[in-house]
Amino acid sequence: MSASVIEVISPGLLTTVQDLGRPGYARYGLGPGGAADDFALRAANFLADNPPGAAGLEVTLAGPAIRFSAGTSLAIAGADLGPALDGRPLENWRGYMVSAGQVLTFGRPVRGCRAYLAVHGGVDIPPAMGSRSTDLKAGLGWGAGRPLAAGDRLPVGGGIVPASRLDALALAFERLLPAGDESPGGYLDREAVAATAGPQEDHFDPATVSLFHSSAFTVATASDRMGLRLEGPAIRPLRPDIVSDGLVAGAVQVPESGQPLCLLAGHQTTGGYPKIAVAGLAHLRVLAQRAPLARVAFFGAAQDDLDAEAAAYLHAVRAWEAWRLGGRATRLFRVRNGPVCLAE
Amino acid sequence: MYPRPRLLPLGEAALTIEFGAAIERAAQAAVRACDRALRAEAPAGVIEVVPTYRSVTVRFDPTVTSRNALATWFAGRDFSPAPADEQRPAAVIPVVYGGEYGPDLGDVAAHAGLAPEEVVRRHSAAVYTVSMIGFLAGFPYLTGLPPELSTPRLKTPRTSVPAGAVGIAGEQTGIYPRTSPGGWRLIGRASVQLWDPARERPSLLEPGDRVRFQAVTPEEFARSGGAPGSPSGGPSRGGEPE
Repeated sequence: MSASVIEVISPGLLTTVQDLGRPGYARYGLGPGGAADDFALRAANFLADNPPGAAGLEVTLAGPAIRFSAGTSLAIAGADLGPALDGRPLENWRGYMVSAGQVLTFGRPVRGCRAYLAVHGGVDIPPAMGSRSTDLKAGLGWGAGRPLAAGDRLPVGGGIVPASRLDALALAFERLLPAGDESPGGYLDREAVAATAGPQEDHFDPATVSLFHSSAFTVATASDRMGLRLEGPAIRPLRPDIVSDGLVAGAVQVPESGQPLCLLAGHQTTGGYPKIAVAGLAHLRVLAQRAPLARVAFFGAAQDDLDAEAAAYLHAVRAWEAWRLGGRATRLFRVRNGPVCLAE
Repeated sequence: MYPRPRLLPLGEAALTIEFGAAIERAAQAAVRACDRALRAEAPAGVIEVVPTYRSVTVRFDPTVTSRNALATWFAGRDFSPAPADEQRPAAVIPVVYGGEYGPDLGDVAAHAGLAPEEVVRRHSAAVYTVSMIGFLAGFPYLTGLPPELSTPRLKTPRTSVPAGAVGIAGEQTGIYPRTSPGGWRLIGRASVQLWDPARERPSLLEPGDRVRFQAVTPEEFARSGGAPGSPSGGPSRGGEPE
């Protein structure tokens, strides 16, 4: 199995190896990183019959061309970036079998910003500090922290998942979507995310806070895995800087210019700009899929409501692995007035 | 320092406990004590603990614990500073000051109204505390700079500051762990490797550690592995300056 590799014919705009990141080092200045849209990475892994933390490829807008050295199974989730296998279009959100020598390509971006490719067995490179994620800034992961390059040969776990199993996983996936998801990729089209008050909301006057929550912003082209730079009405803080404090993905920082920066998975661990709001945990995947020039808005929500939403979302996403390991023996039931829970 | 710490919301899976409004000793001591307690007792569900100058940010799994549970945990504890903290021995970091190693030493001296040699003497005589690590993996923000050496950042940050550069920004001093854009006033160069993923603890320093600088000659610096033209951190990766 270890002889199975994927060979990079062309790398695309920015293709990196990502898993669920390396938490625990933020006190040393290293953020957790990992897949910007961890929902889509988890989904691709589920559909390729992998554990949720297996390493896959994060493909940004213009995708790579990849040849498979051995037959295996794969799944793509997240953005629709026009994937095709030997020229035959593939659908996102379901698994496929591939044969040795077949070539996966991507075409024009159709929806979203980041697609996730999971190959059965995962990208099998040595972990660095507990993770296979590429950290471009800290120089960790594949090639000491760089995107894929033409000629790269990445070892993958390999092995073939039978078609019947792939079909069962895809069917189960649609039933196991978080509440409110009408279809697997429905969130790719969302423009508005819920956000609660940030730790320094009081650094803005109430009219500015209202302006922030009622405005649509445009994602600037300078946006990256670190965050979305937002262009729109100026959201000026009353006082420009704060003594630096801790950051999380979803936090919206506002420098003196009034143009907010909404952090994504690759964010710094600390920052000295006031944070007007924090996007809901269940909405980070929406933000990760907003491509440059897309619109995004942050509607105000109560913390209690987002707490309940986040809990239900996390339960739903984590239930995938129980289903994958337990198969048909595991069923879902809904507690009256409560979140979806897992039954034995 | 606030009479009672403030709990600030930070989304559904994190919160910040803030001990004061500014960089001050009492708030920093409370941060150290809070960080120590969180690490020693490790309340269930806590994933990351990030101490900064005047606050501690805690990231948690909201399916295991909650904001309220953590608030109760905080409320039941006294974060008075432990005197033992001041007794920790200081790590000694050799630095070549001035010249090509510290191109802004003259600016800092002029701003302070001191001779460059006096800036070096005072900078290397002080004992500093690692108040936080941020910006880049392993980048220590050090407090304890003699107030007269305080100098504002460059108006226009450099696009590339070499690994090991020792800088001053306002009342802070620090060391760049790898080549990066940066706006701190550079007064010298250290040859220490602040960040090494191969080490069990990749960061040389820990928040709360104490640090002293020792002035060395370029020859001594070269012998310890440093070289002005060959930073150990690889090429600059762009991004925001610090």
